[in-house]
Amino acid sequence: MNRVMVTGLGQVSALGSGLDAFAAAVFAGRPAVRRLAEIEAPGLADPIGAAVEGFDPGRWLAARLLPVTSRMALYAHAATTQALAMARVPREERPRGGVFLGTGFAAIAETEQTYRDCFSRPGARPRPGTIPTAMANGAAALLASEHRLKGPNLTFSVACSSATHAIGQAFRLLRAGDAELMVAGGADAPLTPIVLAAWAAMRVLAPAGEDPARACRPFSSGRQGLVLGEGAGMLVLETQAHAEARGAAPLAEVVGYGANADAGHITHPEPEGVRACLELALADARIRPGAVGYVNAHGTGTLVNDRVEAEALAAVFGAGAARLAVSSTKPVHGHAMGAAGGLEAVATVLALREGLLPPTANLEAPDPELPRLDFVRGASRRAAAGVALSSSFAFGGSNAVLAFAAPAARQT
Amino acid sequence: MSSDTFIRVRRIIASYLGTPEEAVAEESRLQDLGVDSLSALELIFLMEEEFGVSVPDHRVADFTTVRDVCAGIEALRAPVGPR
Repeated sequence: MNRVMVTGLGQVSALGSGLDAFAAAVFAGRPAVRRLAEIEAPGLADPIGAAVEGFDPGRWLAARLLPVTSRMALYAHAATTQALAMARVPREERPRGGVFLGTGFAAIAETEQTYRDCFSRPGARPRPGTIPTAMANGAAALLASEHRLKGPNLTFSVACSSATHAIGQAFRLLRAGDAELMVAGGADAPLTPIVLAAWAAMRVLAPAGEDPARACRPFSSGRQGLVLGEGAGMLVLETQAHAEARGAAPLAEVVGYGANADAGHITHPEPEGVRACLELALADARIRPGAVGYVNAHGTGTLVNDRVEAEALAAVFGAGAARLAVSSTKPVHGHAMGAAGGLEAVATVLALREGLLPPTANLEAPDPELPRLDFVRGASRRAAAGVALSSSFAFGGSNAVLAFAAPAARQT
Repeated sequence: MSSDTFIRVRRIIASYLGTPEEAVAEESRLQDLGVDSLSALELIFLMEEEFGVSVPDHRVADFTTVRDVCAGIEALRAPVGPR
């Protein structure tokens, strides 16, 4: 079995493009959430979200490809370009690499626009580029084509756990020796009129309130729900042997992955399923709960998720739960759906690398009804976590937990 | 070939490909402008919408140069049958 290293990171989100802007906001606990006044969502009077701003597609992709490339594919491509550049994978090595990409909504904005045109305007037809643009694997195909990645190319659609599963499955492939290099993560651009309205219909969106930036309050008393986000978080993963052969320094190591299904309610998480997934990840990593220094929680800010997740963490970590540092970075970058696990994996790797744990923004008073966990809040916290978990618990009950370890101390 | 047709065709092609209009000449080959099989279909679609014509499948391969596009559009717009 091979050891698997993270050698590159890339992201696009409401926080900007690249790691500097991302790290600055995540570690400061500074939400990038605003009113989406330009979006008319039926039944939702005051939509808010963590929207990508000032993204220039022409910076990343040739103009002639833009008409047949969806917004979420552009995000995935920009993040992948960054990650491969950071990893410094030589051009001649890239054909060995595969792509595992997670997405919940694929090219939903482009699909909505096509339906809107065709159903509302007499004589309207879908464009020839509709299928390649909108098909769920379109973004993964673009990544392969633009970066000459000729390895296995798969798209994972598992709602909020898409990216975490994509990374976990890539980890398994590399560990088993079926690949040496993989690009893995997730992308989503779900801030559309119908998607926003459909989420609102489930009554789980945090209201805008006076300050949308303070709307998402995971683990807090009086939390009122989630805030949607968008973007992409991508990782370059390779076997330790492949990384060492080309002199690439690891940013972190992927040490475990748990995957299971609640087999329960379609939107309500099962405490037993969540708990079991955490334990599967720990068992896969062959580590005891006490070795975990930080958990980047799913932490959406809904009443139900945060309670079920906190109880599951307490059950797994037992007496050590009160000392377990936990935070959710979703208030800062939003719940980016299929991209969430990618952005959160980036945050988790940065936390291990920097020895800095991000706070849960907007968490002033933890809900007293939740088990006692050591919620990181206020400022980020200096701590060498050693091992960190990143969790995603999706609608449909497909759970995913990744375990990362800090890179071994280098000899200077 | 009317200059009006060319002007409109040039605008559509340049805008779609993200290239300056000066790069699109009558004799320009679509392939040289960066048009592949998929973007050719998209451009034909846009021409159909712009000019109110319908290009039959068997004519798609005829569009090799910008001049071919203009000529093909005008042929489709020309009235047929006795006046």
